[in-house]
Amino acid sequence: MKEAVEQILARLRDQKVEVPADEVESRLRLLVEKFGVPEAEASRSVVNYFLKEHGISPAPFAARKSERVKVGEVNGPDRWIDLEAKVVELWEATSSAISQTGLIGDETGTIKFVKWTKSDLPELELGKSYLFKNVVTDEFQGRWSVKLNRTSGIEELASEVKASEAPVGGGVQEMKISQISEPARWIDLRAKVVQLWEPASETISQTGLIGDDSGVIKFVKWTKSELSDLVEGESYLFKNVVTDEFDGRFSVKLNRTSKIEPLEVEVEVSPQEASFSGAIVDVQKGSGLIKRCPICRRMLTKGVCGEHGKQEGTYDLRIKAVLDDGLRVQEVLINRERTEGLVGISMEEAKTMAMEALDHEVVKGVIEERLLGRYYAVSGPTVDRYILVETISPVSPVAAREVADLAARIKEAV
Amino acid sequence: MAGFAREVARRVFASELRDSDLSFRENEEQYAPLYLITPTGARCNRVLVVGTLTEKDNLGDDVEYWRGRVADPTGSIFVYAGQYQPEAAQALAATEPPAFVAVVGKPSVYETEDGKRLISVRAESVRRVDADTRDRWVLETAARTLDRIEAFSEFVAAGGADGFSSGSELLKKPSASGEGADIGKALLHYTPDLERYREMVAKAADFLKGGISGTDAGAKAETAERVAPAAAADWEEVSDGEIRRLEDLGEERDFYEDEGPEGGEPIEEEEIFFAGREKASPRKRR
Repeated sequence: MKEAVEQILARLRDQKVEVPADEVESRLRLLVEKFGVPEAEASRSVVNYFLKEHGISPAPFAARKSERVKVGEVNGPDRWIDLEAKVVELWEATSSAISQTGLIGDETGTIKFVKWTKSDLPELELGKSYLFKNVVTDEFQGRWSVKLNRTSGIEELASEVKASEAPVGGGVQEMKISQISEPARWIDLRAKVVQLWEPASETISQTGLIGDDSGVIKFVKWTKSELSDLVEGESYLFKNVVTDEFDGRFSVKLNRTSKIEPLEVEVEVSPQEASFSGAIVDVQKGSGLIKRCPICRRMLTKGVCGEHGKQEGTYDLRIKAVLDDGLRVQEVLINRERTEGLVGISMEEAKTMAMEALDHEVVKGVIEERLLGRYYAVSGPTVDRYILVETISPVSPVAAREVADLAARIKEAV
Repeated sequence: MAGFAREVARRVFASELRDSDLSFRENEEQYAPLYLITPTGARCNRVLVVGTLTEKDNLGDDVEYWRGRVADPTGSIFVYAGQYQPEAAQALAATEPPAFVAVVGKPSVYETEDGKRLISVRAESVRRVDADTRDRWVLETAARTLDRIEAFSEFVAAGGADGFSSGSELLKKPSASGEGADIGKALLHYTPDLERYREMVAKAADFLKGGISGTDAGAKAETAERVAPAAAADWEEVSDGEIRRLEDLGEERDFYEDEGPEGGEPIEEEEIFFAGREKASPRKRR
């Protein structure tokens, strides 16, 4: 407690704010002892409280004491730490706010890092070892990462740090898709290409879904991997691919060290069934009357296919929507047949509407009018983050039974 | 594509939303999402509100800027849509109150010069719905609110003075830390009277009872007829309360008019959407 008080006073002094130590201590004690606030959080709160009292808006603080730890010891967010680690992987940054991201590791494990553009830190090189000073741990969906920001420092180390999980070779295990349970594992898979999607970026040569008899998983084949193209419906042995995780969902990445071997025997794919019930909170772009590339079935944007250029295109009707039950969101894809039934307009009628309005978007508008804000129950196979809707029906009106159950719960609460 | 996960639309009654004034970012980065923490510990970047649109006004001059008031069985909340939400603005403009509407939007807190924090919803979409949808939302929101009240009282009971004395307990359970931290924040900021929120939920349940009664079989046939008049009566009562609230919010109008040299201008988009803490005038809290 004494130490925390000293730190708080030091931080306040940095901002030219003088506060009696006993005031700081009593406020900190109140938070930590009476309200059970974690000490780090409470300290921050106390600092902000006194800054506010003095009319200063809270700003990030540099004067934090960081501790030297091993990668495997990272066990909580918002810890300021020093790490000696090797850059094991560098990934494509997904945002201009990020200058570099990837994996760093030592003998105890590997951890994702994010170096913010604003940090102005020097470029890290793959395979080199560094002392990462004053980096802050973060947590997302139960996984730890470290963030390098303006107050962090990087020093290259003369001696190499041994990283536990080498990205190449050694200990690669053949797995079923459903067995994938952690990111950054190097594995072999026997799987069939279920779907190919339009890559969102030039750094990706192919992306889509592969499946085996245990499930399906998204894959990303990097352009840099220089691997030959996969064909939808064909089965392959995917060698030395690496698992990744985002938002609780796993994917596999095919990179330069990966290999693809076509299989003679077709891999059987079993789709995972799911159901969800909730309000439709969004009808997404690409819903309504769309045109598809006659060659690859991808949606055309302004008459152009990402792969095959300008195309006449064939019409299709579909809905991409988001269901939400207040706890989770679920994206759904509704095909032409079910869209027609649900919205009550045939594709021919949709075409007529679009022609009359001189705008395809008018069909999306009608779909929104009918569906947005309403409750539906859906079921069907899951594909990546979507449910491919096989059944969809409005949730039935609130029944007296449900209200009675609620009333009973209210009686018991508090 | 990667790096983006859609935020869940939380279910919070208007009365609780109106009590909320704690917003925060998870980190200091530019694109970190802003969250509103409600008194029962709901962490909202987005909400779904289904209720009755009781009034609407165009506050804009050259550019349309619509404000609607949406009432649920517990209270009401303002919903805004301007040029940056053209579809929602259009829908609001086209809907004649009273009408049931479903609003998906972002909660926004802004602070008046005298330090009063006001909460509203910046609409992403506004759609007319039916009474069944409204009832479903009330039931669901009641259930979610009870979930939070229960989690809250468990947190208080388990944590009390010692449970998290070092903070390490929270860190050991990363799955629970999110919710625990949110409740901790709510506890610290609001010290909420959970009983009051339980009563709020009870009020919502009573409202549903008024509209739906009898056995399930009987109710099916009756619902259509019974809901409409019963609901209408309830909304009358609610609007009585609203008159008082409207007066409370007189300051809000002043806030518009006193804001800066272009008095009377609608508040800029970024002002409305979670007026940042940096912008908030420093003031003593408690």
